[in-house]
Amino acid sequence: MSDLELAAVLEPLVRGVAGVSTVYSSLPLLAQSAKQITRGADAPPLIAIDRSSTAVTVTINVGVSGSAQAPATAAAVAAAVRAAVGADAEVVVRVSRVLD
Amino acid sequence: MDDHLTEETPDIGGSGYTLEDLSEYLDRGRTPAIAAIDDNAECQSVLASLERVGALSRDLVAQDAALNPAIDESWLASVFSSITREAKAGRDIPLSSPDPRTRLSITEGAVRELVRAAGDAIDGVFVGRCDLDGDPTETGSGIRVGISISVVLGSAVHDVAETVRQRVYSELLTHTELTIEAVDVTVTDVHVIANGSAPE
Amino acid sequence: MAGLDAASDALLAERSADGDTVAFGILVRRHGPYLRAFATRLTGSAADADDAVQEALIAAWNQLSTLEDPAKVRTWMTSIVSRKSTDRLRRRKPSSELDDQRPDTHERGPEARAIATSQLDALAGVLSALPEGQRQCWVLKEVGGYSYEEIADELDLTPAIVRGRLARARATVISEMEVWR
Repeated sequence: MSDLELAAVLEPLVRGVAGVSTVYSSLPLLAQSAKQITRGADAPPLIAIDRSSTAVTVTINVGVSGSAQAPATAAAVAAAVRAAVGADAEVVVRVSRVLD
Repeated sequence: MDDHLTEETPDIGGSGYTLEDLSEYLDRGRTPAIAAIDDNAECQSVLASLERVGALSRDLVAQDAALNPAIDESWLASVFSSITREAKAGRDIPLSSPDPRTRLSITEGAVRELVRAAGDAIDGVFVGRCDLDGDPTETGSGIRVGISISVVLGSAVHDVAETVRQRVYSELLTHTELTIEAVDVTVTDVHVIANGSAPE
Repeated sequence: MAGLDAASDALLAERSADGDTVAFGILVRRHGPYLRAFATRLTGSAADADDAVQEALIAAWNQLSTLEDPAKVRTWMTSIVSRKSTDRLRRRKPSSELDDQRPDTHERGPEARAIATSQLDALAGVLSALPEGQRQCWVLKEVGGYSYEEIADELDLTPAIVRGRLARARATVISEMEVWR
């Protein structure tokens, strides 16, 4: 499966983790154009998959619900993604917001 | 280009000073004082007129604003589509992770937002500034949190500040692994709720 | 939490610096009309003013952390609006080329033609008929409160030229406003 397909598979997986309220874009701002920010059809995937010659890194930015706990939720997201991508990948989970 | 058209700029009231001189005298606050201007009736009259039209100009812009108070929503929308919160994310504050290939963190921006939300949730309180003193990226190092708040005029300031402190501390314990040395709450502002109604 | 629009400018500026777009929106609604009015008098064009204010607000958002005294946020935003407005003016025509001894080539606007029924209307008419270079110096000095050096910087002129244009504008304005004393 391509990285694009992988990112598309991971997204609902992450959304399904208890305590996750939103999935935010992991791309740095400069890589996004104003149009893409509004989630048009060509929008890049929210989950970033970066490959170097030695490693693949999966980066997820999430918003956590205020009624959950950010550390536990981040760990749960990592576990869900790890289960899908295997033991060799680097998994980076960043809580960008905690929302009521 | 010669900006001093001396043959066309007579002095005012026989003072020996031209309108341009008076203009500059006014702009530097009439100091150092020039007796020939200060003692001359026509000069004083001109200076008064200059001040008057200056004030009228400020009134004119204020009137323009008052007559056009509506902000076009689509104009506003284009401003907002261009500003983002990305730059405010700040550093990544580490959370403990289960294995060396997993990195978990919460952003500084998220922490400040949740501190602000905790304070805002208390009736009659708005949080202003939120500062994290110390290095939140270094695990175990102590952090002091400083918050400034605005309270409703007439509030029991001490009690309100204490409630804010406790709520913020609790939220930080829930969502971060920071070592919180202190939460300092300072009341720097007061406000009134419009129409004197009780805060929601 | 409701009623953030009751908060002071300083508090809203602090929150905006932290990334609170709601707080920033309140600042924009509160000061937008003034900023737009200022830019319109400065540029002589409502369309240019709208664009300049829009750009200025985006710049303000990005630079809020540099604002030292949050209570002065309105003055600070006005200075950004000035710069964006004068950028536009310079793109139209370099300031040094604005011959301020000839009357404005634009037609006198409706304000000037109508019989002024108030002092402010009269002033509006007089200002809109000023040569453009003089009007720019006027608005920046009398409304913006900038120094000759600051105006010279913004308009890419020398302080001496600014002083001269301002004096000529003042001569015109006080003589034409004389009837309203």
